[in-house]
Amino acid sequence: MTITAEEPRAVVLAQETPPPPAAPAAPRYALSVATGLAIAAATMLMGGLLGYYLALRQAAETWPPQGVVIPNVALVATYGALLLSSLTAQWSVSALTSRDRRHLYLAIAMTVLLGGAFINGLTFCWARLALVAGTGFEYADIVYAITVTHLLLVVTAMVVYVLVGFRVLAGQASDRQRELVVCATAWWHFVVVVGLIVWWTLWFAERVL
Amino acid sequence: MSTIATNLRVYEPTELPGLAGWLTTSDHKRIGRCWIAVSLAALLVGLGLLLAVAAEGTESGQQILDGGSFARIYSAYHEVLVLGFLVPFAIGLATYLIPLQIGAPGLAFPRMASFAFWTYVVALGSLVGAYLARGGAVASSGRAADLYVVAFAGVVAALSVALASIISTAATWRTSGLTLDRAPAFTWATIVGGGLFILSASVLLSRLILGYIASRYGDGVFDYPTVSWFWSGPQLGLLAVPTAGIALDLSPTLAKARFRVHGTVLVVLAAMAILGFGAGSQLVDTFDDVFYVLVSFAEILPALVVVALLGDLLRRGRPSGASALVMALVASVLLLGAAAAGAAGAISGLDLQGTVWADAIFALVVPGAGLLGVGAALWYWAPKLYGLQLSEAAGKVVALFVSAGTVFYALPVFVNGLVNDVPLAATGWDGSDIADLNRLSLLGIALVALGAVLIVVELVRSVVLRQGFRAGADPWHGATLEWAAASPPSAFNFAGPLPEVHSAWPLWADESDGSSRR
Repeated sequence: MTITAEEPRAVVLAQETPPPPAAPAAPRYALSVATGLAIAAATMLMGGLLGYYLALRQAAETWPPQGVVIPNVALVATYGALLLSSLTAQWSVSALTSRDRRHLYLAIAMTVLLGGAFINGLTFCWARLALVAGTGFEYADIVYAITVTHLLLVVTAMVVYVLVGFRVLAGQASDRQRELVVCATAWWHFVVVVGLIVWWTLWFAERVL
Repeated sequence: MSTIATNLRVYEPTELPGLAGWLTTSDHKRIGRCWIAVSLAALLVGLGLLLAVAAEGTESGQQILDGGSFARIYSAYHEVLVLGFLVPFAIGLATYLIPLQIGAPGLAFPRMASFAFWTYVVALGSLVGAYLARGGAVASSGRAADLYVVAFAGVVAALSVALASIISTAATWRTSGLTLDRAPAFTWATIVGGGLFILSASVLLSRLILGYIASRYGDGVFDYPTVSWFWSGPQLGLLAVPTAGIALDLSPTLAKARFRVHGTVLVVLAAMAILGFGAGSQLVDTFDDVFYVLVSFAEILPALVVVALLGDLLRRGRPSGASALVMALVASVLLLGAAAAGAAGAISGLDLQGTVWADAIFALVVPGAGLLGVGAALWYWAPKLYGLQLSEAAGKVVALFVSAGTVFYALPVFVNGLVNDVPLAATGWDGSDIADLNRLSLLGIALVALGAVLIVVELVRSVVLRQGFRAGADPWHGATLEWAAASPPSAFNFAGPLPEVHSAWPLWADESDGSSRR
């Protein structure tokens, strides 16, 4: 530190205004808390929709309504792809832990790809179901409400994973950045679990059980 | 340029000048002030709408508004007062204050907080646009109804994101030694109340999604009960948590005494929030459930404990008579009255469901206790918010107007609900006594509105015109950490590292009042 005699104002300024503390070096678990809140909120959101579905189901005489053909094989393949993505998401955490950057890239890319496969499969299933929303047919309304909302959750998880991928490419995947990958993975796992609950409630329990 | 000066420049906040600075700011103090300004503007709009609805009720039949307009304004004033005024003010205060109360240099996710605020502004503007296009929550369909649902969802989502940023900060950025059981009452109220608000708002979002599909893709109409549970009992109890948190936070300092056990404050606020979680009570069918009735009665207990805690504090301390304390005490009593009225409303023999009894409870919690809580917060924390102290005389007038106004506003509505069985949102009835009571209620609303205008005028006089009294760092001899910062706080809030915190009253020494300081 050098203070020259011809700059007394700087010295006075320094004495009057002590430098404020730097921002905390590593805020602990703030991202984890935010992720927990997001998961809790999305649980309530999907819980509200599924609760309404179950209430409709309980009140109906026949469920699913006459004429609805559930494409079970396509649905199993679609939600199976989503389940697989949970494995690749966890692979990204393992790769980060073992500092294996190449596998980390691969795991993130595979996860996003499987998310895309799920969206593709779901749109195919919608086409096979041939339901039309807004015609007073409540089954169609609630099915679209639930599956589209879940699809949006999958899209958010994909966006988060793409962002994490960019940060990894930028060299930010280190032990200090581990929380970012872990939280993105936790969100992904949550979205997969919600997908499995949706599959069970809307499709599997209706036709197979 | 010396090294020291260079170092100091590094610490200067890198905010852009002018409007760009406000749009891109990541300074929690600026974001907090923005929320507060918007909420006060919404308060005036909401009270204006309320006056219009009340004026319509001074005669049987439609006088000023046609049936559709009346129904839209009726739903709009609830939305504006809850989602435009009460919740945004609590978020603004928390955004500004909580980093100071926990000894943090800022928010954990400042850009997320800024994004949430501007999203909220756009969504709120769209909501107003939807109403102007004759959309709204009451039996509307068409494009205006679609816009209404999307805008409403945007408002709710933005409020939730803003709360997530604050809660993450409060949960993880506390200074050394400030464990959660030592958290200031307002910080704790934001954690528990905000957390449960996010959960119930998510349920509201699910209802909005279904409403959107019915409205956008079909001929279905969007019904008011889809959203109105959010400001009805028991959910009103959750909306009362910030007011109770403010009252319990500022009272020890202004009464110069501390609570016997700080944990009691935390437990009572948590109980108030949990019992106020109303996502399970949206349908009329649930109102006869034993659980609903039990919860409605249980909500009295935390409200009663809040009043008892404050009473005990006043008895043991040396209350200053500051207007903030007066407003906080009256707000607490009004919350207790609302809880008792909510319990009475759950008694099926009284047949109060579906009557204006619910409007009277709303009057006690939102324009009554809520506005008094806001006034108390502004008068108490103005030194931190603006570096100025507001006029005590003006504060006492505000307290008088809002307190008296709330009583005049709510009591006639209670009578109309209990004795005259006036249904909610009714414009026609038999009997002149109902009109007389409604006129009295209109007078009360006018007094409350006058109090709100006085708050805004005092803020403009003191803050905008810079005619307020200049405040020192700690004019109240406060107990919590925000009073260790300058008024208003500098960038990064504190001049240096804070010492380890050892109690819930970190700025007070071991003696029981604020006159002896560490």
